[in-house]
Amino acid sequence: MTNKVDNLTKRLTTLGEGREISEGVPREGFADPTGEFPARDHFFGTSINKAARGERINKLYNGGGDHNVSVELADQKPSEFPYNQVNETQSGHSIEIDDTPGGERILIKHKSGAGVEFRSDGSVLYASKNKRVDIVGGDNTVVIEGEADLVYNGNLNIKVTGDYNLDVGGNINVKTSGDMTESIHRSHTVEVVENQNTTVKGDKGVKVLGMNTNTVLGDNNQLIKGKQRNYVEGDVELTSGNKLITTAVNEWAASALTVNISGFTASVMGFRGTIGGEFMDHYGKAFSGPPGGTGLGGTTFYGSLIGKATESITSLYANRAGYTPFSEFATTAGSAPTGPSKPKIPKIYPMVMPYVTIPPTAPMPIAPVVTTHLYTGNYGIREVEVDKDDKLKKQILKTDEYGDLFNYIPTIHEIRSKMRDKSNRNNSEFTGNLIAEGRLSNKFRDTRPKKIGRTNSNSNKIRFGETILGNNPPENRSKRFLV
Amino acid sequence: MSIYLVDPTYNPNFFDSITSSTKVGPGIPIAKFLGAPGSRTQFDQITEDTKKIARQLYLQAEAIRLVQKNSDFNQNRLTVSEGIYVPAITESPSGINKNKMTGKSIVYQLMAPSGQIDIEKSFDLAVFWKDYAQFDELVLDYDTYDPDGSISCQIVLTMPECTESFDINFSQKIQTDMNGELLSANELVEVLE
Repeated sequence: MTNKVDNLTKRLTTLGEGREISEGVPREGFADPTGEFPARDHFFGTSINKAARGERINKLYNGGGDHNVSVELADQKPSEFPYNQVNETQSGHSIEIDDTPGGERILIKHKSGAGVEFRSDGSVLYASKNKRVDIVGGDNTVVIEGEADLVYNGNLNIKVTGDYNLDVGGNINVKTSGDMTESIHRSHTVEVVENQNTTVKGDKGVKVLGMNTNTVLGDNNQLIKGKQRNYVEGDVELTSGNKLITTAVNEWAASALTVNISGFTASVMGFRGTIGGEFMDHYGKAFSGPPGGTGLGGTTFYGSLIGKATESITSLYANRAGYTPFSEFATTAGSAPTGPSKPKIPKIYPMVMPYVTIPPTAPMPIAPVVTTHLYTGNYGIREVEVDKDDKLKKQILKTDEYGDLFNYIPTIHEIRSKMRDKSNRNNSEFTGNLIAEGRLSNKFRDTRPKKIGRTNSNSNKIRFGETILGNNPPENRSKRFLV
Repeated sequence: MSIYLVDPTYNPNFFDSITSSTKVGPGIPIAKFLGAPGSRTQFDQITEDTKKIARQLYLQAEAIRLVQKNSDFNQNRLTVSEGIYVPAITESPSGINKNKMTGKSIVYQLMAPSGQIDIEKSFDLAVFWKDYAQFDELVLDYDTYDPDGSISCQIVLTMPECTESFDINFSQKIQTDMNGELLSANELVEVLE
């Protein structure tokens, strides 16, 4: 036992005079010879732990919440003496078993703030200031009756060697600011019981190495503002169970080595152009040329014509010709300047040709008829206009609304980030739309705060460390810090 | 210029490749500076030299470590609210946003356990960093951008350009901004309303 009487000489010898004077001699014989206890916050008071007396609540590291993620716990009632059994080591580890009525809890705390706390309301707080590792040798079951928030401020990797089954009773909302890649080594099946909507603001590409089949049991609409190109190396079949209408405002062209167009009723109309070819056969009930010219029309025929013609440059047989420069045989001629001296034996031609006048049933496709057909008929040209003035596009892209800074609805954090640039802050289109949509306060230009609190200048100050070394009393002027 | 002593465990110069998983401090991967709510960025979008960015982020991680070690902020979470910045196609960033592209500037928010910004403690943090951290410029940034007009507080920490040899000089400049405009130079002012 050490006291001020018996060991003075020995201590002076072993410790030296300076240390003996500085450390002094404990007044009480029961003092800690190491000087560690009582701890500095127990000087001049009882040595019963402050946590046991309720003067201090040992808290685990909480770390604070994250954006809109609360980690708040119900307030813990301070301990009452003598219900809290505290075991605290000199470095700061502590174990508390607290029976304080209404504040019952168990705390196991590392000096760093890590630990476990079983709180009075039944909550359990696990805290780790560094890495945490959970290893389960067998099965693991987690049942949470309430809600949960998971925040990873780094990468998250999940590996499942078996099946990964996700059963969600409500909605699933996935939002990523980057890419999303799915690699499926076998089949991918998606069943949507109701509707499916997809919006792609950029390009879209689909590659199918096998067969591609789209089965639509309802209507199928494709609205395309730009061009559409279908390139098919093999056959193309376009079959309609009812009508098939193809129209183009400017030009419609169909070409092939062999073209077949057939129908019980067929109409081909046009102002001008060509129908037929060197070896084409034409069949029909009636032929009528355009109005004007001699007689009923200005149609000119080249080649042989069997039937009745008002004028024929060369006719093998004309029942009656008003004027013919040369007739091989004329039954009656008003005048014939030249002719053979001996009448030829006339060829027997039918006196009455099998000619019955059958007028055309459809109206002649003169310009007004064709124009009416093209612009007002059921099979006329159809004007196409998709997303006039790009209204839908701009609405989807949102670039106009946000001054080309966002092409999606931004959060207040993203808005704040853009507002750091003065040019963006002064972009009235950008800020005006954000205010109108209720995403930005109209007070964003107020540069004078209504109320200020503390101030701290950058004048040079003595810098101290954070953690006091040793067990120096608070009133000790010379402190040593761990920086 | 002075040589900054770098923890070899996290010195980006010693890494063969830099990924989003690369740690620039204990428990601080680069990913922490990528997915910030104010500037969500993907690592493959970064066009700058990734090692250079990692060196800048190492300096930022040192400031984060200081806060993690300080028990005064045990009940608070220091979050990166604006990390590495990739501008819009039509944008020509300047100032802080330009610095954010290389990790020179990072914007932080100090969260309370409730999940809201701890305005009061944010001022404490700015003062703490001012006294203990090394930086080029610290901006205590208040704004009323939230649609309800409430005060929001961020701390913008700008580090000097970090060379491969870590020859750097810290200017230790401070200022307070309000809604993007200078409120007080060379002084931290706590804005309450």
